Order: sequence, then C-alpha cells, then structure tokens
Amino acid sequence: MAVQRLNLEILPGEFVAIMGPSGCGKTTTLLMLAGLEQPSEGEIRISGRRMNEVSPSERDTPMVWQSLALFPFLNVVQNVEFGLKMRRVDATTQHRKALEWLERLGIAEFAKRDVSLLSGGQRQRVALARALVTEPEILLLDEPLSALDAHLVIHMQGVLTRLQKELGITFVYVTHSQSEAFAMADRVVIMNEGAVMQIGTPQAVYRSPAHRFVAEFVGTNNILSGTAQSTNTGVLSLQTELGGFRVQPSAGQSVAEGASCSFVIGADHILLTSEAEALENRIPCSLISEQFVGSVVTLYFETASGVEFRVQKQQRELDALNLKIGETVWASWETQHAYLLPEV
Amino acid sequence: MDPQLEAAAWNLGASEWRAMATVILPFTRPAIISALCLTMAVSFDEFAVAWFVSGLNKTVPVIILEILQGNVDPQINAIGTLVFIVSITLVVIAQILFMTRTPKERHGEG
Repeated sequence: MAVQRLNLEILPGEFVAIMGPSGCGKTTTLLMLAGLEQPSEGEIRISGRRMNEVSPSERDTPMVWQSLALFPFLNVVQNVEFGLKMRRVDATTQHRKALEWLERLGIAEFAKRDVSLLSGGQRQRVALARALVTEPEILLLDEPLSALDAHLVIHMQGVLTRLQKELGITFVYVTHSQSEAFAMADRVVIMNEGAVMQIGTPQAVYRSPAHRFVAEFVGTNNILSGTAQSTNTGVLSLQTELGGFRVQPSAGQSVAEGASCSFVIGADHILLTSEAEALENRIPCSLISEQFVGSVVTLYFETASGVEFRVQKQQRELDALNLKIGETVWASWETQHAYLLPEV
Repeated sequence: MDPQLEAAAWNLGASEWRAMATVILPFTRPAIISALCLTMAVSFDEFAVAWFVSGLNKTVPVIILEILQGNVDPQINAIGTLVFIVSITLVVIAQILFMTRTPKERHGEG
C-alpha cells in the first residue's frame, strides 16, 4: 500500500506543499486527486463533491508533471491550446487564450517553436501555461522544478508564488525539497512511508516538529535523547550521554520521571562562546567542517563522545569568532529554545 | 511512448477515445506508416508463400518464375527492375520516417 490513511483538508486558494523522501506516497496522493490513481478506500471531495467515480478528464485538476509530459508532436502554442481544444472551445478563442498565457509567462516569442528546441526553463513555462489555460480552481504540481538549474529554481519559485496569489487558485505542490516547500507554501504536509507525519505552517514544522522524523527531515536540527530526571517547576531535567540539560515542555506535554525522551535544538539557536560566557545548557565540542550555503554557514562540530552537532551562523558572526578547524568551543543554548519532541 | 503523455491528455480533459485520437495516434503515426511500408515491401517481394497459395490470382514474383521456366525473355529484366525500385522505395520511406522521429525525442538543453 503506497499511502496509508490520510486525512487532509485543503482550503480554497491555499498553497499546500506535500513533502517527504522519495517513495513516501506524496506523488500517489497527487495522482489520487487527479483521478489517475484510485484510493482503495475513503473519499476524495472537491468543493464538497465526491470525486471517486469521476473520470480524470472531468475533474478539472490539471497537473504539471515532473517529466513535464509535453506533447512532442505539437508545437508550443498547440500544446497550450490542448486543454481548450478538449473542452471544445472555438479555435479563435483557443489561440487567443493560449497566446495570452504564453505572453503572461514571457514565452510568446517561442509560440511556433517545437517543444524539443526549448530550454528546460522555457519548457517548464509551457507546461505551466498548458495547465493554467483552462483557468482551473486547483493546480497540481509534481516536483515541477526538480529538473531545473539552481538559479532557475529560485526564479521559478517566485513566478509560481506570484501566479498563485494573483489567480487565487489552490496549488497542491509535491516536492522532496524542504527549501522549496518552505519558501512557497502556506501549509506543509510531511509524509513518510505513506503516512502523514505533520501538517502545519512552515514555521510550525520548523520550530515544533511533531515527530522525530520531521525534526530529522527538516535538516538543520540537533536531536538529543535522554532520561527525564526531575519534572518539578515545569522545567524538565534530562540526563543524556552528553550531560544534563533542561527543557521546557510545551503546554499539555507531560513526561513521567524516568521516561526516555528527545528534544530538538535548532541549529540557528546555538551560541558559540568560551566556557565562561556559555549559557545554562552547554557542551564543549570541536569544529570539524564548515559548509558555506550563501549568507549562512553550517558548522559541523563533534563532542568528545563523537556526537555530531550542527550550528548555523551568519558569515559576519563567524568572521568575528575566527574559528579554526579542530578548535574547541562551548556550544550552548537557552532552555526556551530546546523543544521537547512529543512521544509518538 | 511515455505513458505519462496519455495520462497528461486525460488530465487536460481528454476522454479515453479523444486521448487515443489526439495523442496516441499522432505520436505513433510515423511508426505506423513506416511499419506499413515495410510490410508492403516484404509481401510484395514474397515468393515462397505466394507460389504455394496463389491460385488464379498470381503475384508478380510467381509470374516471373513462370516466364523463366518457359524461355528467357527481356520482359523479366524490366519487371525485375520495377520490383526492385518499388521495394527499395518503400524501405527508404520507412527509414526516413524512423529518422525524422528520432531527433524529436531529444530534449532541449539547459
């Protein structure tokens, strides 16, 4: 079974990203919305109408395919006209609307060209125009940017979010890329092995992961596990292999003494100082490597017991620290920035 | 053919029959025509089967054999030339169709 029980409600005009590693069932979910896969049980409703028995051609849920699936025997404008032709719109209107969309996406000059002669970015726009020309209420996108160069991806993300806001239509966007989902979506659905792990705003998913998997998938978190020691005064003391740390459980979270639990510290919440200046929760660790990712740098540290620690810093903060590979510093964080993972 | 092309046609509002007419047939047209030319060439040149099964309606290769069995006649050279030209033309057309299909499969760069 590719997708387990899934309960997801998408609001009109919302940009929802379904994210997860390959094989998590995100594309299957999208194909079920389009009617190209049948759910073995349950219901799919669009605007309140049950869709299970409706054929794909009558659903009006156009899709932008990962492979783009442009028709190679048609030129650019004919590809875009296709959806209108299937709706038996008259030829003049077909052509006018198709050209309007090509114009809007900045590829009108290629209207008569063969699709195989276009660049990746241009073909991407053709696929988008072809899906949007019928002015649908919902647009499904299956990793549409995965074949593009990095600089084009950022540019197309801007194009997509702008279009979505202008048209006010619902976008359901499938991706394995956290940065794409976070950059564009109003809400993110995180899936793993066919099950939904968390649904929430990008901020919520990033700062308060509902599941260990989510915390790991989001990528720049440090996860520490230990045993709860004392739970008085609302702050939890945790004994981990790296020492004792204090964690503030969220409202409604209760942990019994002696229970094992894990918490997350965002890589951007860690302070690097000398021992004297370190905050309450602290570990000495030594710098192993640096990874430059633009304005921020990810630093990889290792503690004496060999646990990896990730810290993100702005380039200018890092310049002030003047760290060398192998140098030992104190990584520390405030108790309020440690997020206790719910036990699942 | 990428099966997603057909699914893409359904997704854009084509019923199964319209997808067949507007996507599958245009996509496979060169292959269908070249297959047609090749089978025509093969059956036109076919001798053994035609010789055994033809009754009153004789095919060209069978007629050539009958003429040859009687006497050597310059007709045979003329017929032979025609047969050769027809079948080679069919094969060449089939080849051209295959070759025009291939560059279209190539993806644009960048």
